[in-house]
Amino acid sequence: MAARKRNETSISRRLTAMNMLVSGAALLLACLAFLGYTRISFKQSLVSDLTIQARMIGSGTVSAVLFDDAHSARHTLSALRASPHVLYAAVYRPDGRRFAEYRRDLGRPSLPFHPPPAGKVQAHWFERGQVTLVRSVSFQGKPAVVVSIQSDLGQLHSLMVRYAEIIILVLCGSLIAAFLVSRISQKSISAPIVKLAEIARAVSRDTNYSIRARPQGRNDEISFLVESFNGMLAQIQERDNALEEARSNLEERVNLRTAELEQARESLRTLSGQLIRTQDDERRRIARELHDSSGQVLAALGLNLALMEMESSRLSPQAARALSDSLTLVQDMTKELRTISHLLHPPLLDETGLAPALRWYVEGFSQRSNIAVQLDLTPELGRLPRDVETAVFRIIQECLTNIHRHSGSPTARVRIVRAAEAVTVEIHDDGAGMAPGADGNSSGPSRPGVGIQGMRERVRQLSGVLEIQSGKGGTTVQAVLPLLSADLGPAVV
Amino acid sequence: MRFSAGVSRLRTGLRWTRWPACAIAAGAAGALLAQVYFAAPQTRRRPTEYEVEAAYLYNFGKFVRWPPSTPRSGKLFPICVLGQDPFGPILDATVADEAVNGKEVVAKRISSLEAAAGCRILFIGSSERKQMEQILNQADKMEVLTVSDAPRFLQEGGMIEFVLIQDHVRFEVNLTAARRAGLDLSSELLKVATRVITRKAS
Repeated sequence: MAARKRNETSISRRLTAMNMLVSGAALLLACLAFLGYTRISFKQSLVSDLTIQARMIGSGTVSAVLFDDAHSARHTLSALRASPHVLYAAVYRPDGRRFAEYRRDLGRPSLPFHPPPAGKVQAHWFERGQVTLVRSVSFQGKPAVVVSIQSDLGQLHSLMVRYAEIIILVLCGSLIAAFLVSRISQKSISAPIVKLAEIARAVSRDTNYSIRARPQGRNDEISFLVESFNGMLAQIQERDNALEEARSNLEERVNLRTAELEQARESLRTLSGQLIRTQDDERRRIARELHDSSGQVLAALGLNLALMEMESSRLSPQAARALSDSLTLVQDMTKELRTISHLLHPPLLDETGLAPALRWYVEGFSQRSNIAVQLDLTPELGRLPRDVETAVFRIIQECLTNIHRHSGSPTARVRIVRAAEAVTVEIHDDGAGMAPGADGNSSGPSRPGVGIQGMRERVRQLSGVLEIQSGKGGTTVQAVLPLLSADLGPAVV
Repeated sequence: MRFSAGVSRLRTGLRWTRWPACAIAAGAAGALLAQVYFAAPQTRRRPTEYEVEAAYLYNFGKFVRWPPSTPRSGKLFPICVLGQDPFGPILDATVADEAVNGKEVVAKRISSLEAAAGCRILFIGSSERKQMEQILNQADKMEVLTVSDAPRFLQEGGMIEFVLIQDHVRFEVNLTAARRAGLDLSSELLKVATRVITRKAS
């Protein structure tokens, strides 16, 4: 509203001021011209009045001059008292001798004789706010009298003052009238502009290009402006719509592509999950194969060798020693085979659960690697879904292997906490930390180990979260695996 | 009122000027007279009584209108002196080159009233005092302006009488006598007259 007010004032006030300036200037000029004309014509009429008076005095004093009757001449002159602006008058003989004179005020000095210039009967001059007129009056064809009249211009001055007052009044009245008329008449000019400006403001404020200015129905610049403005708005709206359409097309395509990507990722995830399961199954199968067939063969071989050893006294000492060695080799191999088999898939994991399998594995790892591993397990760990147990075991196995291979840490700590809806696994070492980019979060120049990628994939398959924090104080790997209520097995062995 | 009267008189006076040539001559004569009269005012002697009277005599003519029936005497404006002439050559010198109403002013000396036919102004010397009444009675029919410096001239029916007031030559007017003769005296003349009487002569 304030903006509208300001806008309106700026255009309206400028128009009004311009109108008033023009009319005021024209009026002032006219008044000044009138004043100047009045001044000139007043002077002319004053001179003509004085001329009449001089002629009357002249003809009225001719006989007085001819018959030397100064008294009569003074009497004639005294009639000038009726003209209060006449200051002084005198009658001279043609030769310049003063014959009679008249003074309005007693102290006024006599005027010296100034005859009209040769060839002229009359002359007048203005000086010091007075006008002096000299006229030579002839009688019977001969110059008989010279009359001189001096008048002040007080009448002119009072007239000028009165006219100036009237002019000021007229000027003020006219300016007020011009102001009112201008206010009324300019509405037809400024109002459409103000309305257009308002619409422009609304358009720019709301960025709503569907607004249109109302046509004026006239054929002037303002309606041209309104038309152009509307045309501009239409163009902007058209482009805006085209842009909006292009944007939504693009969005649709992006969404489509994203969905495709998501699908591809999903199938990839499924594939990797299948791969992991296949790997686990394969390992379990190989482990069982190793245990069941190769282990049976080795057991039979060891039994045979043991039977042979009972008969060793009949053998040569070399053969007996070889037999003894072979028996030892078989026993070693049996042990080795069992270790490999159990590492591939600890049977304890399926049979008795995570805790005994981990205890067995950590013990073996410590022996093999000379790394002291502290194992903290929640007492009520119990049995977990098979996938979760396998994942936890494999994550711990992978981490400890990494610690042994890369960290150089003499110790390691494994902690498993089971909560109602999730199990948290945390593996910590005091080693040198991982190289940047090795945590599998980025695809930097040093490719993360396949092991870490595998861990991530396992966790993701179970909808869990894997976090790796590595620094100078060592590395901590934490995996949180949700326990879905449907999969939640009894917390008993 | 007084001014408008003056203007109308002036216009009347201008109407009298019928012949421009004479007007120019009169103007020239007037200028000459002015020079004679008023030149070098510091050394100028005071004009004598008769010099003033001679000048007044023809100036009277400028303020009198004669009836149209007055016999014309050509382009002359005769001023006649009856009886003993007190002016001598002064009158001739004064009226020389002067004009009244465009007519040349001439001075004539006459011995009897019969010779006054055609005169416009008749100066009657005081020598005729004894037969003044008779002369004036006759003159009444001649449409002539009668002037004299004789005492009681107005009472005897004369029109203009010179009087001396404090050594200044003034004049008195008998308006009734002038009107009886059909002469019209200008108010301008009456204005400067010392006295204007309107009673009938006895």
